[in-house]
Amino acid sequence: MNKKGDILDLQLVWVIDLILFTFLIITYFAIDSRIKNSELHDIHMTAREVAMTYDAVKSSPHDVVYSLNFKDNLAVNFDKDTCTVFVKSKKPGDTLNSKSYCGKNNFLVVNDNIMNDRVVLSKNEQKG
Amino acid sequence: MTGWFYLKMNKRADAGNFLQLFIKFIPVFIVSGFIAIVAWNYLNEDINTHNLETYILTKDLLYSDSCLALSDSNVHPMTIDVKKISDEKLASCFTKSNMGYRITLLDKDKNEVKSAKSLTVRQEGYLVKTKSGYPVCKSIPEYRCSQRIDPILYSSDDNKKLGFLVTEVINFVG
Repeated sequence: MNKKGDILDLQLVWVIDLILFTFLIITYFAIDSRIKNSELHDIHMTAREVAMTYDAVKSSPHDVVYSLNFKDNLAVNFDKDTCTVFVKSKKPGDTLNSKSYCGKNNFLVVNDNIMNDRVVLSKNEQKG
Repeated sequence: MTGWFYLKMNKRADAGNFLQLFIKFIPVFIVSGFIAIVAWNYLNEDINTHNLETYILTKDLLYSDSCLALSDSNVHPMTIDVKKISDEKLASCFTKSNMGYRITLLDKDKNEVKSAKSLTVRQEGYLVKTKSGYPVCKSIPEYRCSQRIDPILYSSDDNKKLGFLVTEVINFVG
């Protein structure tokens, strides 16, 4: 009596299963390709590298100028008020980003000059 | 009475159908869970820079005259001016959003001379040391705690003495 309905139900489940599996496989390959080109890893690492280089330049007992290279597909921004380094991908529509904190010192000024593929940090100490 | 009976039967049938559907989708849930875990681990990649950050912090404290380094006409790196050890000095010398620290100056016999901290109330609660290390910090994976001991000189009453600087650091790693 109910056979037709049962068959339709079964087919519907198979179709939904198929759609979900296809979606999952596509997602997996998308993630996998991201891991292989490691763009997010570069973004995380660059944020930490810039923040720690800032701290290292700040801790130097002498005046110092240091140039740190990074990949030119990344955009680096620096907020001096909160001592935060923001790094994101330059690709349009790409929302991958990372931030890292540096140590704030009220008496020290570290000048930053961010260029296309490098950041130049120089220390100018003021007595406090 | 008859209406209520059919309603009850329909509910049982719905529950049976739902259970059947749920069982059929179990493989999908398992694979989704696996991919979600892979994605989560990938997006929250653990880059452990805690020890390096602690090292840079101690260099900041010991090398700069705006921190603890003794200064007259020259700066004396690795020599601490005891008068500079205060919470206020640390707050103006090195503050970081996800990091807190406590420093303790010990004399050569490991007796405490002076101590100061730059910690929030929560960080202070987590940075409690016992014989087994930092148990509170160990039990919360979002935090890392460590201790570093550096041999230093410190100036007290115009004399330079040998001592140790103990730096305890707590870091929020998310």
